[in-house]
Amino acid sequence: MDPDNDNSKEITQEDAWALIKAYFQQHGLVSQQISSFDRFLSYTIQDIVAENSIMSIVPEKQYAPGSNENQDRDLRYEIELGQVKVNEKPRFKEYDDKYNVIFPNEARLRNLTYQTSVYVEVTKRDKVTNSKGVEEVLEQSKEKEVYIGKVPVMIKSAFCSLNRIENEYEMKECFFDQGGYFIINGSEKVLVAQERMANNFVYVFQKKQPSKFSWVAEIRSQVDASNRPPNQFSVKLYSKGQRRAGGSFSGGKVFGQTICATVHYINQDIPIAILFRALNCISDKEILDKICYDQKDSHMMEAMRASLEEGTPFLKQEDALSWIGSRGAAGAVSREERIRHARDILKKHFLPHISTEDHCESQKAYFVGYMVHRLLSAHLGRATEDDRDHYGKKRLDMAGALLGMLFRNIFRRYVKEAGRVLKNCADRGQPLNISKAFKKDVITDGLRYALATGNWGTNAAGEVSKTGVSQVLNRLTFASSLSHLRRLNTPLQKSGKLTKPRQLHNTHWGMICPAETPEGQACGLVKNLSLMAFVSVGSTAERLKEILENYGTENLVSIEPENIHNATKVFVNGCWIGIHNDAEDLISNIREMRRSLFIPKEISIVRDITNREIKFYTDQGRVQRPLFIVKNNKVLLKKSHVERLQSTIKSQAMDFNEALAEGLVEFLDVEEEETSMIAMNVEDLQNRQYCSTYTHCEIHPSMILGVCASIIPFPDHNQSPRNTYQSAMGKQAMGVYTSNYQLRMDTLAHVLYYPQKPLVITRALDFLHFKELPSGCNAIVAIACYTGYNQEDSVIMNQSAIDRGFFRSAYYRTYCDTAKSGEHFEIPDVTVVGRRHGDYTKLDMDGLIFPGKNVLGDDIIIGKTALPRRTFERDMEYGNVIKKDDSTALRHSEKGIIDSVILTSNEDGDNFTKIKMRAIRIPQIGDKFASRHGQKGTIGMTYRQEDMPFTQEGITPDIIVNPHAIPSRMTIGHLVECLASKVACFQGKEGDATPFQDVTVEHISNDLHSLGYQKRGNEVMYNGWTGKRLDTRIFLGPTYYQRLKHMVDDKIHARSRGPLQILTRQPTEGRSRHGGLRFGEMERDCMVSHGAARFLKERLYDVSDCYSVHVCRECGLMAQANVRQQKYLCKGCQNNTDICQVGLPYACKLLFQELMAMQIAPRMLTND
Amino acid sequence: MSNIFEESKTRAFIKNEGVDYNTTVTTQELPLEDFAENLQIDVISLNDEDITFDVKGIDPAFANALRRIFISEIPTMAIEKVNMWQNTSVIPDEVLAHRMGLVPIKVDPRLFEVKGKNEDHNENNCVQFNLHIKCTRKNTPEAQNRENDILPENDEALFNHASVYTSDMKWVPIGTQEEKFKNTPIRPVYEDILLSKMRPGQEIEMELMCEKGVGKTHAKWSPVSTAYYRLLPDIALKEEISGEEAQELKSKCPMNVFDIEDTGKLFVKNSRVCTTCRECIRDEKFVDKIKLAKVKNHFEFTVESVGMYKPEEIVTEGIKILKEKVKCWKNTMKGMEEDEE
Repeated sequence: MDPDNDNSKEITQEDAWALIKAYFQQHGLVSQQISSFDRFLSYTIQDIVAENSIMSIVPEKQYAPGSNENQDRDLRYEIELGQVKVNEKPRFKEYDDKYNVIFPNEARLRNLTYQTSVYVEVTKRDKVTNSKGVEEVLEQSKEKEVYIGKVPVMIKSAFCSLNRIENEYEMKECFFDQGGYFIINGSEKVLVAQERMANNFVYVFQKKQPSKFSWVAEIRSQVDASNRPPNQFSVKLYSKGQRRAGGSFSGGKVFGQTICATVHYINQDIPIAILFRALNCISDKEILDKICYDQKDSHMMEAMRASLEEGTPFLKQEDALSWIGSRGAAGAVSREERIRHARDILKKHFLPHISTEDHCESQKAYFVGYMVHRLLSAHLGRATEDDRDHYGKKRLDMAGALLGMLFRNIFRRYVKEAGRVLKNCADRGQPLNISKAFKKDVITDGLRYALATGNWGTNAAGEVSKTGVSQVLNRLTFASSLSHLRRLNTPLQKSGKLTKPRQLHNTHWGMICPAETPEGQACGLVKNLSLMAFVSVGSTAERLKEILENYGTENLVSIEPENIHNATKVFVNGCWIGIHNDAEDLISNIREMRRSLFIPKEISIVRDITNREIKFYTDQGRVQRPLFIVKNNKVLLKKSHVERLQSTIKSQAMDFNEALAEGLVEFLDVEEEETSMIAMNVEDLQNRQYCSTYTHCEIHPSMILGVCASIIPFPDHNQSPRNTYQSAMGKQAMGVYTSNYQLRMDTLAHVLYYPQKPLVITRALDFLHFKELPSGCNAIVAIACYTGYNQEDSVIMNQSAIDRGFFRSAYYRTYCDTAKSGEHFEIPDVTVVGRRHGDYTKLDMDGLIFPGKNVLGDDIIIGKTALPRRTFERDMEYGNVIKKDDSTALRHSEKGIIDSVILTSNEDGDNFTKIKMRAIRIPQIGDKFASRHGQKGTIGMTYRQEDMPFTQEGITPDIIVNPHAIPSRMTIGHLVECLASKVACFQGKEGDATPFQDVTVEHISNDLHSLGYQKRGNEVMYNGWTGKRLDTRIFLGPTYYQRLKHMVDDKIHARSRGPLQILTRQPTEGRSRHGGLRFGEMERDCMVSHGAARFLKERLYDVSDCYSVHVCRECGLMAQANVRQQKYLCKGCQNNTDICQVGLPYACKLLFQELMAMQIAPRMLTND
Repeated sequence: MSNIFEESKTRAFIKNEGVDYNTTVTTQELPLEDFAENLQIDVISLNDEDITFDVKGIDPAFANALRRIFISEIPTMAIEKVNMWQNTSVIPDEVLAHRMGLVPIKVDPRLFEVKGKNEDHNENNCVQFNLHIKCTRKNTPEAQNRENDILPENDEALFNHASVYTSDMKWVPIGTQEEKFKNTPIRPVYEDILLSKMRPGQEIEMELMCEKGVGKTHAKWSPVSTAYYRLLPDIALKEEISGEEAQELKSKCPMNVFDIEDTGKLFVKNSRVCTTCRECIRDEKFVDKIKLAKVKNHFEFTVESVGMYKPEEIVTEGIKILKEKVKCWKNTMKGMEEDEE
């Protein structure tokens, strides 16, 4: 290219944003969820069906007397499940059997499940074994579409009805909604990605002493992309002086540290030499060849000596196999049987990721050798222990993988059940009824149950294996929904004291947000993906293996062991497939293929130069991120590309995929990232002082942050925990959580009246749609002590601003109810039993309240009556049915206006209603607010405009925060935001607060000064009451504030008297039940130490469960008493004179009675 | 020395850092005659929306009392009760009502009384508006094509009343009001305040009742968007500055307070525009060369009217109210004295 050409010019950091924009246009923010689900429904489901495809049904032979028909035939039915067909649009079957295509919003409103039907092609073959012992197909029939169940559909996936709709809002969807969740029974569910250790990795760990072993090399082996549980295999090196327990065959003559192996299904550790011999490596030389690639490596040879000596009694493969077989599950059987058993285990259950076919012994032996090699290298101090927390060795199970696991379990159960039914049929000699055998609801209900509860799968004992996998999508703010869809969870015992897995690891860079994690128990275990992080979907390794072979990889079967030392080992998905003599060449060839998208972009290519290994990964669940490709210290993406990225002309425009295909950017996973040299920014490339061999360049360093942390302006100026606090708080901020909120019926929702986009924003906010759906206001904030009403993290707020609508919000709550059979929506009349004490008069004729009605606590909003459980028509006719009231009342602490009412039918055809109430929340003392820097506070006082301090321009602050909030928290970003906002305000532009850029405080200050203001944002102010000039200047400027969902109106609570619990007659607990405030142990201790006995008695007895019983003074047990007739009797003693009354808590009386029920007599002995 | 002492009585000095302890004003006894003689009011600028005027010879308490009255105690008329007969727009009733309350109404509040608690709305305490508006599709092919609906930018072209403005509010005279306000018809101050956006089929119908009130009760009754004052800056050079230093100082001030004479000498061109950014005295070398001060009894007032009153009327109304208050106090005090006797 012409070097003078303008278009071949190097890009600047600013140009990177064009690419970032293209990335988000293509991928959105939830593509990891959607692509994973699409793969599940398009491929995985077919694979799972294929896995369990053939059912063989052999009918029990019936010898019915009198009929000789078919009696001696060996009839066998074979049922094959073939092609899976998934309906491309979710449909819903109405109660009147009409099928309708449903859209998400209808599913949400009617509490339906957004799911689509799955059909399978079933082939039935009747087979008969003829006299020659050959099977013949008698008859073959095909049923094209056998319905097997319904699968929930992810919103905006390839199977979603919205896919064909051009404008989402026509279907009453939010314009900005990105999908990525399910709708189960009307509630939106997210499948939170689950983090786990990767399979097929060899890990070498040092054991903490004292322990039997000093080093262990482990692998969890699993067949590629299958969801079978992995098989654990480990190679262990004994500690010094440790001897194998029960190793009688060696006669205890072996000295030194031996190596043994633990194999799945074999109950005892196998000496490594025996394992090798079982794998047909007979001579010691053969064994050593597999382990020590360098024949001159005397140290490693020496380390093997003891292990080889240990194996001397078993010099034949059969002996070794027999030894192994006798320790398997089969136990004491014939030698042949044992050998066969051992062979079988070694074939199928031992290192299955290498192969489960015949003749794979040599490959497996090489792999065991490799593991021993790794083990000994670590033992000899040549390699270090592996890092458990390295993110390259972690995999994320996204929605698709999780559903795959679940579906596999359910489907297996389902097929088994179907087989049983069919067998029953066949046994009775009836024709096989396929559509009847395949039950309709097993799969549908199984999937729905897991998604509705989050209880993911059950283990053998029927216990829930994982909980909290499926969560209700957080809909408080748009950002909180987005963040929820990018969340990942580590299923680790949260109580564990181990801190390491919770810590931020170097390898998290660019993949996991460093700021966004909850505080407390789940800290560091629940994480969030960085903005540009993407999770690999997985692809088959077969094609890659072919390519590798074509490019000169020598297969392990055909190589000479001596060659290994000088060649590079080639691994694909953890499986050692061969060696290659020119690693550099191979790597660059494959890399070029990936860069031109000849092979999938998500395949990772890792070259470990020191260990002479090349590793390829194609599996799913690897976190990846895009990076600029650098050649000769120059980013390959040039100005000309940037122009194409920005171009609006279709023929010239370039999207992100084209950038990938042209080899300008590529995705790297953590493992590959480790082997590349990445420049932090474009400027670093030009400055060659540090490095001149960069291979990649960051697209923008601010992309390491996640959704919530990207909202923070100048996060690079804050103390790091403050960013974490804000990341948590941003999720509680009110805003516009979705643009279709008026059409939705969320149980709880807050909407800000007048949301504003921030004056100062980060560039990433464009992609989060924060400007379109903001969650806060630009408030004029003064940092001052004005009166004392903003101490201890409270703030003073301008009442006049509140009057004008500052931070007003609407609050929505939805009540819903179903009229099941025997129940009716109607106004319960006075004859109905169990009427509430609320106001029934607000109900409309249909028993539901109407929109626009003012309601307050305990008003009845849904009138519903229920017939007694056993009601006969006869009773109805005679009208002697007493109906029960089952109405719904408004929560007693709330009031508002009915916003909307819907009445519809649900899945079962029952009448179903949802009622939305709206209330206006005006900021008041006690409401919570926060800036974007983890600075939260409640309103301590409101002052009118004239009482507020004012500047010489007449500006009065909206919020006054206390200066003490700043120094110890070190949220400098807060101050910089204020300063930058002030400049932005006067210049009429958006301020840029993207982190890791070269905007400095000095720049902002100078801009502000040139506008005629004090450089650092301070202002002279006048006291609003006295009118005097304040002696100090005050830091004043606009700052973006958020209103948090915690409001006093939802918290205020007091009780003088109220409801009691039925069992103990103590006051109820909690605000929603009008409960009492607990006078707890510590309060009691306090009173005890004061000696305030009477007060204590009052608190714990008189105002709690005060009660009195009559006690027989002879036996000390409770006596019968009829106070009105003055008659007392102790039945046991026949005593009706010597009885006294005792006051005691009802709970105490209850205890005594329970003790008596257990044959313990608590006697109350009374004095005179 | 005595000079500085004398000066500090009338001037508040500004330091380059820290707290300016000298700005607290000691209120001296101010005999009425002196006050009357020294008080001087000059209007600096006046237009339809705001007034700026200087008041010399008063102390902060006096100035502030006026300011506070401007903001919160001059009565105006504002919508207080809304009878919502129909509202199918996307804005909830309460929000719309709140928006209506903030609409400034052009009517002379002095002609009305404050509505008593148990009083009904009548011609003396109430102004009524009606707003009834329905959004419909225009009769053009573009408007009939529903595919065009989604483009928000051309809604005015497609629909009638896609936006509801204050101009849609219709004054409904009560009793003799029509006669009374024949020459000054009652209307919202601005015709183009956007109240709501609508889509075809949506309708708003409501009755708006204005009542008289003060800004203390709710900010909607405040006749000003803000009223404030500042002390007049007084800047002087203590010693002659010229040459490079003069250039440096001149360029330091973003408000161009300083200028340089032909002789190269720095002089104070316009001290009034100073915003007290103190940049000129930040550098140690200038601290002693420039006197940065405020005149303690010289207030530059600015009153920004919302539009119900003319700005100058607000000032006179404010003074009237202050007078009333003083009178009231005087009477109370008199009563107390009599009681004592």
